[in-house]
Amino acid sequence: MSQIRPCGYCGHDFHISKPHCPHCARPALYGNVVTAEDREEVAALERRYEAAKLAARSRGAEALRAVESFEAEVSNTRAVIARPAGELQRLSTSDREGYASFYELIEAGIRFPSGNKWDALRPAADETLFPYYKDKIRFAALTLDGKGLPGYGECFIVLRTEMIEHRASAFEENSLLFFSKHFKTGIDEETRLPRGYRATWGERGKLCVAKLAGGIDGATTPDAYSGLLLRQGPRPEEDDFVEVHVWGPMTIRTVERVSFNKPTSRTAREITNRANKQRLAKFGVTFG
Amino acid sequence: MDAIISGRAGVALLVEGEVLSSFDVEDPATLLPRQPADLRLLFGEAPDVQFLEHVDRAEAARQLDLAFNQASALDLALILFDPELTGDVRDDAAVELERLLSDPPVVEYLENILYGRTLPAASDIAGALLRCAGGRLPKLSVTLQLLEGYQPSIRAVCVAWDALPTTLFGGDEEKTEFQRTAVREGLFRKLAVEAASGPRAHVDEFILRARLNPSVASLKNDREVLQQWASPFRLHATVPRVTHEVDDFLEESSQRRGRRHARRRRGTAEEELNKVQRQIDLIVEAMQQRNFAFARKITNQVIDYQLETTRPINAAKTLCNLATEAKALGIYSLQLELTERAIQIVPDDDWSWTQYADALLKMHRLADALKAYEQAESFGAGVIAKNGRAEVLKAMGRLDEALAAYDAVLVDNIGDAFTKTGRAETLRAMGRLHDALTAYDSAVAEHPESAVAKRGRAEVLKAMGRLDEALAAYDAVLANNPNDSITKNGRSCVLIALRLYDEALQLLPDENPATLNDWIGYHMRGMIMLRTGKIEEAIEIFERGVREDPIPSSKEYFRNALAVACLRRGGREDLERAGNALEGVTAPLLQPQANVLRLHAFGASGKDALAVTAHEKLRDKPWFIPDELVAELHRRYILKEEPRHDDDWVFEKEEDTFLFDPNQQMLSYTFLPAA
Repeated sequence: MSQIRPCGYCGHDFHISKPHCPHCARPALYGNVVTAEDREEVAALERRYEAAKLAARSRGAEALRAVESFEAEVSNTRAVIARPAGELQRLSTSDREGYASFYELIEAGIRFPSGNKWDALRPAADETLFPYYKDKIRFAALTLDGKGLPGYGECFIVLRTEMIEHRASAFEENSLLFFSKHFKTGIDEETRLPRGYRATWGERGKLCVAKLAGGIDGATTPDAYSGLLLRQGPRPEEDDFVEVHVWGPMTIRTVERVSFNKPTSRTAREITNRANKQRLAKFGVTFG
Repeated sequence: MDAIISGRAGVALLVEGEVLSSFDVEDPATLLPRQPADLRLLFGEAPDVQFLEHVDRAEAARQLDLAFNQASALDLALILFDPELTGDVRDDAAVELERLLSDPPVVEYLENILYGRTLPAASDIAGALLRCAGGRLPKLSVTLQLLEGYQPSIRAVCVAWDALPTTLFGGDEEKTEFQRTAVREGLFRKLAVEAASGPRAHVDEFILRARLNPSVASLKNDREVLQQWASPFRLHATVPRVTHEVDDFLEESSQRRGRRHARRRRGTAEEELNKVQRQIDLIVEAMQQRNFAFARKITNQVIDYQLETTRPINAAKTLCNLATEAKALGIYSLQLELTERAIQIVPDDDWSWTQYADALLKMHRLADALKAYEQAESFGAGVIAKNGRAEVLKAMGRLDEALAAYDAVLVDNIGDAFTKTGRAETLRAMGRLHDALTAYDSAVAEHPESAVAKRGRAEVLKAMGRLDEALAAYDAVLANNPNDSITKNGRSCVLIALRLYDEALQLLPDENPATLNDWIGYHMRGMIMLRTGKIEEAIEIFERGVREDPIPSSKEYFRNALAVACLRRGGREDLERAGNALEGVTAPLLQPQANVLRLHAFGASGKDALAVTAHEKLRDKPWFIPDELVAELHRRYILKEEPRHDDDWVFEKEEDTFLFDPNQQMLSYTFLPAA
């Protein structure tokens, strides 16, 4: 897709990474959402979605009904971030504490690239997916039951839909893995990555169907949907989930609820969790 | 094997050649295979990642446990300081923190962080300290008290740090990195401690030791940074502050060190004195905040310094001066501690012995106080020791001996206002009210400046039932000293007797007693509740007095009053509680009231033998216990005859014994510095 878009007010072109139109300074939309709204992206996703439904129909009416039921459920999914408890503690102290992106942390000197293969791959992948605005993107996963991927931290932070739906998009899987599997070098930016693997927040149900309907048959019951949507692998690169990209800052005000993936046996942690629960309540965040 | 650990993340990664595995602090027995890519996920943004070389798994687990406890201690401290969290969470945080502070590396880590900046204004350290009250959490209590005490030094150290130019470090990031290292390695803490050490501040040693730390030595421009940072805390950096003690100190100093270069040293000695004086100010401030750990720590520094640099008598004087401050604040246990140390340093100093005896009297260790006054007298303490001895005899209830002791002082014609008012108080306690009034009149005439004499006169008028005259006498004292809390309490007492409860309440101190007079006023507040039928509120007040009043004899008044309130409520359990409260009443002067109440409580609960014993002890009862009250109780509970008065009459008479008790007000004179 083109990274150049016309301003909705003055009509002059500018790059999708810019938060304001450089000509009339009116606020622009969010790069990841603009990309997901691209006509060709939408058409490609629609094709995958229809193909998935067609395949379900071919497996019988029960399978189709199960896929439709699945689609209804995943259309109401939420975004979840898994982080260490310390990160939650920091966020819960004040609504002036921001949740930083990977690049903001590196820029601030808080985190250093570990030098592993993923960190080496990340800048290229992110620059391709989020050209000139990769530092604005925070990563999350879609969830049905509020649980996230424990490999990223023991604390599951569910985001408020109303605070992100206008700036979030959904992506087929871990974008690094997707990049490593599908990226093609070449001059033409348009063909470096295949289309139809991302969706606006409102269309995330279709993306889930396109990706996961093949694993649903007449015997699939709703209690299996959570596991289909988000599954922890034996190793992080084997985790399977639908990635969420959220443009821009987040604070504790962006959070709806918090839970931990396992009970603690440490008294200090238990007390800290109780304290966090009270601190979070001040911001309308539920716990547990 | 090497390991990477983070207490914040609660994870250890073991590195053995190419093989990686990890375990969690909650389950160190379970090892999970890992890949290099997992590093980021395992440690997240944890700021406390440590690399351990050549360790085995057990050592890695031990280090992880320590790091986890250190990170937890910081979290718990922040919970403890957070006034917006509920009491139960803060209570539990305090208890767990006390447990973690058993490990010295945890204490060091926590202090290194907490001394890195002054506590934010919103931090509720008072609430945190309250959770340690009563010696329940001693380690935490000391840690918090020291932290609170060092706040001014921490502030000074941070101001000095902030003033360092960024160029000295090579840039903003370098300054931030230096600061992070300095906090972690405890340099902020160590410099704050040195800054509070007055003339004993070892700034050069601080710099030397800091530079021996490899983490610090590897930082850019470390020597220059440390020199400039610590510079304000060197002796020469002090702005001299001249006080009346300067010359004494200079003389002392020059005698000890020789007079060569005295002129050059004058400046240094003045600076040293100023630093000592500042430390004494710090100690008094710490006493006011009831921060005893910090007060003791700085006192030790000052005394050690004085013992090294001047004659021991100066150290003893400092201790006695500090003891006087402690006494003024009603902290008698600290007064005793300080004076005890003073007599250990100079065993033949009459002034130290007098102060020590006074502290023993305040702590109600009457036999020891008597011996100490005799000791002071033998070292030449004179009239002060003689008065003190008489005072102790009076407190022991040995009123004839007390009177004789006062008379002996007056016969020698060396008596002062204290002797005369002490003698008058003794007469009042003996029930010789007319003699007491005459004695007070004489004391007022000879010492018109003495508020004690005037108040005592008002007390006698109250005891004689001349309530209007008593009010007028109190008003006359208040006209000159409108904030005199002893007089206000005395006036309230008369107002209660006149049933003017609202007016009495207005005169009493607020409901957060701190000083002895506050506690006496609080006791009266309880009596008003009792008189106005608010028994539950009265019991609450008296129970708090029994629990929290730090002055032993004053606390016993609350015990007696609690017994009356329980008798008023009248349940079976209340009789038991009244008996229990009375068990703790041991002060000789309080025995008559306690025996009246024992006769009542034991008699009402059928413990006849105990009731008879209490009645026998009332044979020589003092004048303010009415005969008809003892007769009524005797009739009811010993003779088992029909009562002549109703219960309300009995209760009111029992309550009157508090209002007309000359000894409670006398407590004020005994336990407070002279007005």
